[in-house]
Amino acid sequence: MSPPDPIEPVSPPPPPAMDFALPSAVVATILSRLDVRSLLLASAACRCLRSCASHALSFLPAFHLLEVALTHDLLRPLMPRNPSLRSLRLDCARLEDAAVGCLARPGLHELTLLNCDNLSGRLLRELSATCQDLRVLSLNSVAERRDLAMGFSDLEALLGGCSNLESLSLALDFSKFDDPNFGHVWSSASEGLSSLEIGYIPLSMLLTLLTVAIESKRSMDCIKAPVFFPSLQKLYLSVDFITDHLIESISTALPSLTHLDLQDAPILEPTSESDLTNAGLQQINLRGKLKHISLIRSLEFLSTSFRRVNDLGILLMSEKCSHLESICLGGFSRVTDTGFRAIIHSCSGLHKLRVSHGSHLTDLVFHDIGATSLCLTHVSLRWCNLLTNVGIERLSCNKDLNVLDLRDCKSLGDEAVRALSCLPRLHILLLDGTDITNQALKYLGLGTCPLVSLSLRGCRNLTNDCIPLLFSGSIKQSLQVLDLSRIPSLTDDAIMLIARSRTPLTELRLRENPKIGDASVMALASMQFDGAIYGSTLQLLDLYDCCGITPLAMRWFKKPYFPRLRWLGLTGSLNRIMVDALVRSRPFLHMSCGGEELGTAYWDSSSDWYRHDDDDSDGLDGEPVSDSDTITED
Amino acid sequence: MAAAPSGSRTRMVTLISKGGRNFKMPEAVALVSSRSCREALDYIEYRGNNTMMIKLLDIDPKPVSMLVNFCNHMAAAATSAASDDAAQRMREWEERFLGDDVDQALLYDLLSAAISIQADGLIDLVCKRVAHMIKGKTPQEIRTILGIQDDLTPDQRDEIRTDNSWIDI
Repeated sequence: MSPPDPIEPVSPPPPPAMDFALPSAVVATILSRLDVRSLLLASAACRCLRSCASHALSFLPAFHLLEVALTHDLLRPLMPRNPSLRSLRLDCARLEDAAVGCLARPGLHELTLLNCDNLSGRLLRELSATCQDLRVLSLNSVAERRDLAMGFSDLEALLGGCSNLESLSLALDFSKFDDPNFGHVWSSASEGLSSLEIGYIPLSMLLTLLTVAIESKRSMDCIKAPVFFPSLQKLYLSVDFITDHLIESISTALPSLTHLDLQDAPILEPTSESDLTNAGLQQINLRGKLKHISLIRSLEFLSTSFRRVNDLGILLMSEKCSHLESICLGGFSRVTDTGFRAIIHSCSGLHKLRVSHGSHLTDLVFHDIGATSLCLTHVSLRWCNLLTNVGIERLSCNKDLNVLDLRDCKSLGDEAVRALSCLPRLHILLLDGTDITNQALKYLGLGTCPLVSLSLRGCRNLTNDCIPLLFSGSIKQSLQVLDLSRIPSLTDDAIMLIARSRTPLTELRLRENPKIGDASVMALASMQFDGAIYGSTLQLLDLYDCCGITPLAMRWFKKPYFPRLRWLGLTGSLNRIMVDALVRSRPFLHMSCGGEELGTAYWDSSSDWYRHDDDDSDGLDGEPVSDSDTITED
Repeated sequence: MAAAPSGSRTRMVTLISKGGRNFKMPEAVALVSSRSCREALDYIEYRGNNTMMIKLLDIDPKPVSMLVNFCNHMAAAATSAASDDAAQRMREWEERFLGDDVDQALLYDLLSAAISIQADGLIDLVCKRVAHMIKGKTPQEIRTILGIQDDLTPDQRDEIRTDNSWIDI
């Protein structure tokens, strides 16, 4: 490498060399405080740091590597025997069953594994045998690959073996676990289980489970009757239909619930026996203990809604909801202002309000919100077409607003944004599909919101001039995520202005913009920060269906440009050979050519919500999966 | 464990730095902050009112005084009630404690002093601070910050690069 830095003319004394100043055990301790990527970069600095880093790997308490999917060969040397390892988080997209030994480690308390498609049910069995101290387990898409097996016996083993589990999240299809004993096996689950998340479970299986639990409770034999879910407080799941019977069963079987999150996506129009009605809604919070309720009917397969619930049901429910802190109602198309106002006025501790497809929601809901003591922090009003600027002005008296999602509220315009532009804590603002013009961005530019994420997807009235207006003020210091997709009049000039503004963006989406072309890529690639490193702090760039991009742009994605890029979206039909060459030269870049949404923090477009925001307590560290401040380089 | 003396004087622990400067802290504070003190005081049976003296003769006065300052502050904070405000104030105090005027040489000396008496709280704080300085930096930047020379052989460099092909080193 290069010789030591030349001596500067006037300078403070050079720092004492750390490798001589401190004993190697201390250096290793210092390195063990770093994230994995920083640790490996440090190991390349000198011999001393290299051996200390290698030592540090054997006593790291936490190994978190979610931003890249390593192969087993690359992962193995990074994970030597480490009895101090308590927390492990990995992206397993490139791991198969041979790697299970690396994943199931004795002594683990917390395990989060993403994209376990190529791992079979053996993972669950290994965890039950090796990781009996596990407190928190989160797995998604296990054994999705066609040839891999996972069945009821694996679930049985997991529940029986991990008897200290407090939080279990299995984001998979539970129909794989169908078995006559499915209900009974849950009595052997950890008694301390307080949070359970299930990806999808057929209603019949769920009802069987709840019936078994209820019967067991009512049984006269208190000593021998198996106990089900004694400590369960949080339940999150998707079913095929949310029905009155389901709500009733949940309320009876799980009396200590504080968080209930149910979602359904009907493929057939629900009949009156298999739907949620006012009567069912009354059962939902019988003891008034719930702090978080979420009921969503997704329109993914069928254009339907909770047709049998109207204001009366909401009114009766809200009578018992004085402890409610967060409510989410999706697909309640018959509920009007009366119902929504009832919630706002009964739930004095409400912090998070989300309504989707509120076709009857108008400004009246927020008319006297200033007179309440409500302190809303997260508000999402999606597809509420009757909501106008006046309503938002009233809403903006909640000065603690942190996240505001107003997507597809077609009647909102510039005046609404003006009201929002002085909110001192607003970090995330989504205005997709609203009727704003450049004027709105002028307000934002002049305003004082410390915006981190701004989405203007589909705001068709915007032109290139909106960019200098937006970046004229303090937004430059805070903005990291920007979505300018589907804005037809946006051209390369706008992107060049963004590049020149030197805002260190981490995510930029420019999908389906016909006039964006190679010049934009060049401009973004040549951004420089702090002199030394080339280009872009960009970690995500989505250029799907930008008609102006030609194969010539591909050379700008090779090293050393875009050193931190993790996600790239292009149109697949663009020179296949060059795309393949790029994929080979940057094997750890997620490339999407088919139009899928990129990134892990993207607002889930299928269910139109992002769930479990109760977990990210600051709401803001909304990149839930990667270590912050890591350099991502390929 | 130590019983309160019947006399009115609290027992002290003294740290002696380079140049013979003395820095005192109450024994109660030393017991909470320093593992070595705990072990030593546990072991000694009869002390009367004698002050325990710890010699740190190769460490400058400034880091030793900062060490005593830290221990006193931590002990005081431990007795007051835990709350979000208290945690915030503690963080702010820690920021000021290791503020801009603390250069690396002082930082290392402070760490050495903390290690000598096994003051785990301060060791943790300084380690985190140094780690933060090099977090996310490239190897060359790390060398500049920490003042180290690159003494890797080309073979070793190649090995590191292939083993970690997913980072650009």
